[in-house]
Amino acid sequence: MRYFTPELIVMGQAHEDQVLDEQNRLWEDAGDRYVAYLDTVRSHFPAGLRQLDESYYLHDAVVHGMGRRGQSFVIVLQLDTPPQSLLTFTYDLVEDPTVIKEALPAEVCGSGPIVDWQYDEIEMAPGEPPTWRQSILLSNGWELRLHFRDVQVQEAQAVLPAPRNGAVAGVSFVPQRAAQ
Amino acid sequence: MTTDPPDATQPPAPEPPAPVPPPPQSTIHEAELEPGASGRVLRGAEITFDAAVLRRHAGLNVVVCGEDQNANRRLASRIESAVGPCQRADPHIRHAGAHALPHYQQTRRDPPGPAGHTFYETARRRARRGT
Repeated sequence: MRYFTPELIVMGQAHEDQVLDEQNRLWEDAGDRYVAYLDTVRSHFPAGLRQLDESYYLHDAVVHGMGRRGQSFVIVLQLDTPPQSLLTFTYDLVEDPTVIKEALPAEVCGSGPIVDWQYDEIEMAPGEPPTWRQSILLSNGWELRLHFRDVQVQEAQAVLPAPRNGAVAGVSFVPQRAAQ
Repeated sequence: MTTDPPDATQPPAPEPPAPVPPPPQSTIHEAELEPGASGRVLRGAEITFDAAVLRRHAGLNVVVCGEDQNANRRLASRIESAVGPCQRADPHIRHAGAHALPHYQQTRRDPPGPAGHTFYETARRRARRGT
């Protein structure tokens, strides 16, 4: 992570106003620099990466699973933003993924069964066509590094786990007797 | 013998200085996240501290609004701490525009605490009236 660094995340757990004000300034500065970089490469995004970029706010999405199948790497997550859709990202890998298991110090890592997508950074790798690197920081302290050609994005309306507002569109829930 | 009132020759008393208005206090509101890529927080009706804690226990979002970002942050921390062990997090920034807000949320633990967040406004980042 070049912009949203573990050091800044740790600094953000301080309690003193002065430290948090400075951390806020540094975070905003990092955000400005990252947005400026992305704006220089966005026109080269392949279709799937563009869809991911334009359609979803991934912070605090719950990661339900990730795994590898041949040259594909799959991540299944549920968005925190309404309507808490389920997303499946299938990355077309250029090289093996890497997981840095202790990218965050233990005091800022989650300890429970739920793992969230925290922050990610995308970087263009030179080539014709270019390929892409994505670093994804998870709440369990892992940093997943992917190098890929494109990512296929599939979105499904969540039934289970149900959206927090309980609204499940397009599915009928009926008592067992009525189903017979 | 004069009939003037005794204080007629004294200079007029200086007017008391205009009272300095107190800084506007932070307010707490129901909140929802906007669908899509913005991460924008939509602010709803103003609620009390106790109502905010109840809403957070139910896994719903709240937002603390106001001009003083330190006051907003401290109040957001108090709300989330009343729900359970919590931690602060910054917004993920991927697009221009100060839409997403920093927040406090329950630590990821076993068993999990309620979902949702207590967002707060900063000098640069504001919730939008919307819910």
